[in-house]
Amino acid sequence: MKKRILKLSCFVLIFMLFLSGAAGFLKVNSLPDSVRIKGFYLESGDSLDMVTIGASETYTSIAPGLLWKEFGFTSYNYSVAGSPISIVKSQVKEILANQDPKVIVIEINGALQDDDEYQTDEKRLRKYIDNMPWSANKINTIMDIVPEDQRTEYFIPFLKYHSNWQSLDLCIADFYLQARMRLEGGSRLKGFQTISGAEETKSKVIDVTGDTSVLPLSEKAEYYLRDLLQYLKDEGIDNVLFMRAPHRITKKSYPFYQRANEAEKIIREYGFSYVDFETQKDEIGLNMMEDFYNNHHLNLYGQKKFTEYFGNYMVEYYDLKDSVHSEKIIKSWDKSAEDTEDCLEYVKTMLKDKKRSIINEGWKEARRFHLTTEE
Amino acid sequence: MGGISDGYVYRNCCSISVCLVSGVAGMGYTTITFMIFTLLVTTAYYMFPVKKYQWTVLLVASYVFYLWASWKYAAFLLFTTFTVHFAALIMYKNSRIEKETIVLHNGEWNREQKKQYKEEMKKKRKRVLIMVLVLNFGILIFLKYFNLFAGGMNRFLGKAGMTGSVPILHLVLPLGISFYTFQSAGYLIDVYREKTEPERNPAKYALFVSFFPQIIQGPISFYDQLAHQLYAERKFSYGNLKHGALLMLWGYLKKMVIADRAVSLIQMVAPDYTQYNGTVIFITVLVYALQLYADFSGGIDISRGFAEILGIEMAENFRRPYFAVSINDYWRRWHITLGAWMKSYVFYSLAMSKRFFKMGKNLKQKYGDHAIGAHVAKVLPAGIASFITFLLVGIWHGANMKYVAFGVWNGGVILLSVLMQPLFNKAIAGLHIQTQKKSWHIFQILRTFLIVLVGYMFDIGNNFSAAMDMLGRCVMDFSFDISQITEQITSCGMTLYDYMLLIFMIVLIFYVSLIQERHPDTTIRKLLEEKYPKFQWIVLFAGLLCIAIFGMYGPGCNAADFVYMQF
Repeated sequence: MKKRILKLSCFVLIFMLFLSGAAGFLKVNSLPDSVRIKGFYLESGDSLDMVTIGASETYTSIAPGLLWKEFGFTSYNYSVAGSPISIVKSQVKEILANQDPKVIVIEINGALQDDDEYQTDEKRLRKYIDNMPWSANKINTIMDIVPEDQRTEYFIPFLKYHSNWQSLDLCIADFYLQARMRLEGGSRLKGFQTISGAEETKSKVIDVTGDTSVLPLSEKAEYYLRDLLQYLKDEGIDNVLFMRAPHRITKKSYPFYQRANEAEKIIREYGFSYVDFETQKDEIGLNMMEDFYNNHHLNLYGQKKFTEYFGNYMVEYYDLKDSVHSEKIIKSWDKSAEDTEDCLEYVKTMLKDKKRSIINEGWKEARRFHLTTEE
Repeated sequence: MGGISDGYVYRNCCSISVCLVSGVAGMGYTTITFMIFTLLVTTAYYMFPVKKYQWTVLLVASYVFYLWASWKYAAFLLFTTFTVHFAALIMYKNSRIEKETIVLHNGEWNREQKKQYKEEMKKKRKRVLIMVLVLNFGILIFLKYFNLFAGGMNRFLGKAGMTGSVPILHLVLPLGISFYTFQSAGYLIDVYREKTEPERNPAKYALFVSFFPQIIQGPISFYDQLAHQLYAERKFSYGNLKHGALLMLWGYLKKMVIADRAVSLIQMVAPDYTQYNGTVIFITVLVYALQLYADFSGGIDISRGFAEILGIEMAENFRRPYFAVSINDYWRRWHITLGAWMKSYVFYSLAMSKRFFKMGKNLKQKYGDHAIGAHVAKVLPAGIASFITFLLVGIWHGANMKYVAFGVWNGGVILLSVLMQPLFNKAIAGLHIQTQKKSWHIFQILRTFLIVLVGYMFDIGNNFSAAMDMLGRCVMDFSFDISQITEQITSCGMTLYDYMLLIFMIVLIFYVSLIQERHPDTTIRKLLEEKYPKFQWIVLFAGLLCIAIFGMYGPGCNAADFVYMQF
């Protein structure tokens, strides 16, 4: 009997090991977000001077490689596409558990959606939660944000992702990029992403200079924003800058601008800094037709202009210029800057060929894995 | 044959869909809750200190299971249990009094008096039997067919220009009502026929009726075959655990990897079949044949596997049905326990009745001089009994004309094949067909399978006319346009990867079935144990992994409930 129990235990152990390997391999939702979030945890401890949080506006506006090259400070876009404000508190905790940045920049797009469901929407939450490592914070994040009836699948993500065997190319690409990042000691582009191409708008672009009109935030958005601000205040985390990235504001997106004004009021109410880049487009030098990929995102040209402007802003107000790092970190960041420039050159050729493409960490391998993002 | 009647409450209009609105699926076989529950029951069963009362663990577990899954309707189960139990005791008591009285009056009564007394007593028993059967089947029939009757009445009243209507009720079938009603009725008839002695202990009888591994979808057990196993004292057996777990694994594989995957194609094509060409409809029926078999036999394997872990051997319900060489053979291999029940309590009751004997006798007298007449006189009464039995099987499947058509189709094919047997024999001889050859055997299998597929049309079609139209389209609108077919079948909730996986699983099931067909006296599990003991672990590993990765479960997957759960 003892022999049988031993045999059975060995079997269960081997099976569980194999299954957990398969579970890890298949656990991919959005490849760029997976790489961006997981890449953050591969950065050397306390090596980042600035970490940005937010939705796609963050990584399509700020290029960490260029900031390093131009201003000499390290940064990372710890962001996910369509990120709601509900996850930001958890992200701040993750940042402070892994890094000691001089400033945390929070883009507020996640608080501006008028739909309450946005804050707990599964596909948005999973891009972040499923890619963060297990910790007390992860458990609390699930318990705090995820609707009760969905929590089991967050604790056992295999329930959700086992059907990814039908997307093996995606899983292989994710596995390859994770392995490469681990071997190289971190990501190459530090959460950067760009979009080639420029989409002209048929709608009239609204100039919002001097416009201070407001619209209330959705109930849940305000709740999570205030919860975040209270947490920052209670914990004495004051090295935080809230911002609104530049957009091409039209009649349709104008309510977002008004809600951003409301968010600014709430943020200032708690005594935190806020900078609205929507009203500084002329100073940045943004051309409404050429520098935007679409109404919500900058393209390669806009991104370069904004990164430079933003870098100067951060140097002026947060004294980030030429921060001190070890030789190993400097070397890796020099390489990252090179990779970012390579990537931007590639985007330029794509623009010449009039090809529109989303470019991120796996841009060189995209074609090899049949994951070409060209549109 | 599967499906669900129009009288039930369900979300999709396709008959295959059994996503019930009521809470009967609280602890389905494929839920984690059920798996934990089985683990707890097994532990409690073998750890129970007083072996004499070990069966009480199963009783408690069965009622916990039923209340969990369908607490609102537990009163129906209790009603059937107690009415049948006390009726059986009354009949038994009556029978004992009869025997004792005859012994007491042995010298006094003549043969005629004894016969008269016996008939009187039998009448009393029959009255009890009929009353309890009418009560129990009445509930089943009311819940299952009332709304069909009400709909029909309302249509009639409307056409006749009469005012007033019969109300349509919100009726939901209690979990497993058909199975426990059939099982209880079988027991009562057996007691009436004095084939079995009744169980005196109502709790023990309650276990026989409610034994949870079988209550969802059978098998329908005979009292003689199951009851004594339930009450026996048992010690833990590693062999039972291993064999039972492997059978459960095979069941889960069929249910979660095949049935729940294939169901989406049927759910999308069948209600909207006019949007698809004949080939796609034919593929859908083929997939349905696979889905239904995988779902039903998978569920039965899970039930039987778990019972085996407890040391209880439940009746086999499937024996490679698609290898059948005739429709008669098919029904001996498909839902065997329903067939056996129908044979014992309906077919024999009809075929052995005075009226049918008389019919045979009259036919023989009239046409017995001629060879064909003699053949017809010999087989027609049994053929008609068989036809009626299948008609009842059809009606049992649902309150819809399509199920009547299903019964007529199966019963009709059997009746015709029996009547025309001499003609077939002549044709075979005339064409010099060597019936012992493999090619003839394969032809018979394919022929039978096609007949079965026609019957399935009635099941997946929304109604009788839709089923006939689908059948017509399969013949008249058959297309060989591969790209169009691929486009259509991949737009029905299944990807090409799903189809590839299904093809692989078909090959696997075919291979396993072939081995079982060649070794009918043993099981694959025993064969593995005897010949390749180490390979068992690989099979277990591969099976578990296959279910974990390819199984349809988790968010985003709308697994179908077991097709037969509501029957």
